[in-house]
Amino acid sequence: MPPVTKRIRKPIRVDAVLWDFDGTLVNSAAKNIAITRQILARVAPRLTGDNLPRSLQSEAEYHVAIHGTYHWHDLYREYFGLDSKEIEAAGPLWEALQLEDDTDVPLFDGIADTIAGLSHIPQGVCSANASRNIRRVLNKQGLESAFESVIGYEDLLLHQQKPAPDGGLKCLQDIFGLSHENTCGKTIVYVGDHVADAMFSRGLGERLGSSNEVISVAVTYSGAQPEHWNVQPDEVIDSPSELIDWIKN
Amino acid sequence: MAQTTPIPSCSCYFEAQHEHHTHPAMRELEKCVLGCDFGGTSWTTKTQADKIPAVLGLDAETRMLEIGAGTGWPGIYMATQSACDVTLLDIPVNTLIHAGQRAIDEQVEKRCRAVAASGTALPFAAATFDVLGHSDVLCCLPDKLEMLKECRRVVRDQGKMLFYVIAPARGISGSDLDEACEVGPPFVGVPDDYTELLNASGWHLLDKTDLTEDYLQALLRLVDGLVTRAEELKPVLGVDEYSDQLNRRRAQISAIERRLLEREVFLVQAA
Repeated sequence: MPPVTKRIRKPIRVDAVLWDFDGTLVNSAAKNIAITRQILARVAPRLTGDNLPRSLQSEAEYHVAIHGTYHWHDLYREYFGLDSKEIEAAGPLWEALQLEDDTDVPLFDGIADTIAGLSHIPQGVCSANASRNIRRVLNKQGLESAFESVIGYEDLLLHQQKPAPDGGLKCLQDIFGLSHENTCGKTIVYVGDHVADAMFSRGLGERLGSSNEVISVAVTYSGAQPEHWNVQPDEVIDSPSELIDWIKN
Repeated sequence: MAQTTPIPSCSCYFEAQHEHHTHPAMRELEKCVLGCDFGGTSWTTKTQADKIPAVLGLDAETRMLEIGAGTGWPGIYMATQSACDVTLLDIPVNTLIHAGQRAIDEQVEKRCRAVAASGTALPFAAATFDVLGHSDVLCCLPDKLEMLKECRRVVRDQGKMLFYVIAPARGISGSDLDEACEVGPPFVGVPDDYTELLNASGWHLLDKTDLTEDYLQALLRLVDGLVTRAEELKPVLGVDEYSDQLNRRRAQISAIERRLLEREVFLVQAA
């Protein structure tokens, strides 16, 4: 499928910028690798030590894997080599291990400056991560006050999780103080690194109606290849600063 | 931050119980005893579970946490009855795998998720859930106050919790208390009255109902089932385990008939 992304951008007026978290604001690869290794030690010890999957041996390989799959089941099966029973056993372990693991989660280069540069525009986070994890990382980076809303998975019912757009609606309601039925004439940018983020943007636009515009921005700096996505973003950026240049223009 | 600390002894105990309870012969027995066949290990009957959605006000917007969810009874049943979201939390992963399969079978997998963690260290943000439930969990945990505090932390203000618990009858002491603790669940003894623990953990008691007679009747059905299905069940449980279980259940019946053990359901609200 040919990409429909545009590299020459017209300046736009934006009313809010919403961000995905993992792979977009922060590089959580090292933490996710650490957690996954713990999970493998419990449910598939055959895949530890010398047999550790290649995708867990470096952040670069991990990024390739995470962007090569849609559902975590596929990631565990196709890139880590777990069988279906091991995958079933892995699922319930993630939650507690994620909270216990204290591997550092750094911002991507340029993110702090971009967020500061967009501080005149309301910003929010919509993520499938836990909102308390997100807040903890943002707080550690001194960025929590930069976001008017942080919506994590626990703020939503299970069927409302991404790519369903409900988290975006909730985030915008926090920002504008209006229900989506009363949101009108707004231009929203959603920045993400996964096809699910492009789907989320599309769904958010549909729910907000034609009087609003949602622009889907895909980032490639964490390894995504949006040209292969079956739902195309409106824009592609290779570094966070492109976003600020575009919106500032 | 609270760390998840599995309790190995409990985990092994429930893991072993679970392996037995999911066998078809045991599930048939469970159906006779409780009216359901989820492979559960609590004493909550279908009749009791049928009242939960109304009592907790469950609907499609409700986020429920079921602690000690085992293979999904009654948590998954709640999702089928009310379309609420249910997070199923337990320590043994194998039970949660079965719960996941049961959720698929019941066509509520999009409303159920499984999390392996201890009830005393819940891996959730404050005020994540609207309601909580647990059946005969506190009587199997040593750290009752810690779990009740954790429950309070993860439920929103004014959120409700409904739980069933077995305890030594109030007012007994000496050899009677020893016997109740001996024949009851692993940590049936409670240092203070549950009402005191609830007050100390930020819960307000709304209602409490004695279910001891239901508990006794369920145990009588279980013993009857164990006896009449002996040939079928001995190969499943093993002769020694079968014999131990029969004796243990009979001892529990005796203790209940002499009012040494009781089972109650508490409805409480986050203060």
